[in-house]
Amino acid sequence: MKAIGERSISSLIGFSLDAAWYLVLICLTLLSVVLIAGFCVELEGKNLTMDLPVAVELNAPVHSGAAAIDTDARIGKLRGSLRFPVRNGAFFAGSMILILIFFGALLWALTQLRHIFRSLSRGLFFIPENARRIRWVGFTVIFGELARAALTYYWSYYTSLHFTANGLRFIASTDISGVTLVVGFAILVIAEVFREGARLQEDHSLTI
Amino acid sequence: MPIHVSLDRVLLDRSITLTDLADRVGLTLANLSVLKTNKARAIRFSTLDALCRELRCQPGDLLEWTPAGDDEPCVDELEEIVP
Repeated sequence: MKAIGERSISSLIGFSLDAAWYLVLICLTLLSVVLIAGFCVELEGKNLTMDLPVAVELNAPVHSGAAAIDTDARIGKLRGSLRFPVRNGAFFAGSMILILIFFGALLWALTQLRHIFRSLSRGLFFIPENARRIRWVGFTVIFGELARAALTYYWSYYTSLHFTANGLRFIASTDISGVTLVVGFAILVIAEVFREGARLQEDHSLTI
Repeated sequence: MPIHVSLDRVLLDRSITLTDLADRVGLTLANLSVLKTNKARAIRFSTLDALCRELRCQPGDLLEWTPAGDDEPCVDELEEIVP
């Protein structure tokens, strides 16, 4: 595969960014329609369900295969999703608004990446605008992950308050990803590299 | 920038236009304008060599150092302006 030009890695990345941007835009539009419909239409009985992340606390012993020999292993906590019919109300509206904000932030980050990629296609690599855009993407990744973890905790907390099941105990829990946070910080470091590169580029262009 | 390029004064003394000088030294008019208006961050020795050769001057005739923040004219210059 070629590096630049038609049918190259570069064009594949550009196509992927464009496709992702339009896909997120479509999802954002559909979610907005669902949110507005939630204010206008009675949703109960419309076969509309939503999945919430849940955490279940168990204290079940684990046996080894067919021999059914007791091991010292136990299942402590399981993560899954709870699917329940949607009803109009503050919880549904609030959840939809938060999901819309997430998709909006994702769309904005993809827009910055598209702008960066377009500038690369024009041969403008180290410019202050690209450094700024990369920094914003880094902050979006970090704060997006923190917000997602907070939202997951809120939803699991809501589930633990309002739902029970035989033999199961729902608990409030979160699943913050350290790897995602490290990736966000790595993007911030790359932004600083681009900032310094922009400075060197300007010095070079003003060296007669 | 404490280093000032006195290209306009030397051009005036030699009666050469900026366009003529650009053609002689092999620089674009835009780059020479950047140099003349003190917007340049650095100058290559090869450029300095070409300028001194065409203008028949020394580097010190083109470059002047002024301490940073020292924008006030000296007393002697004031006495010249106000007799």
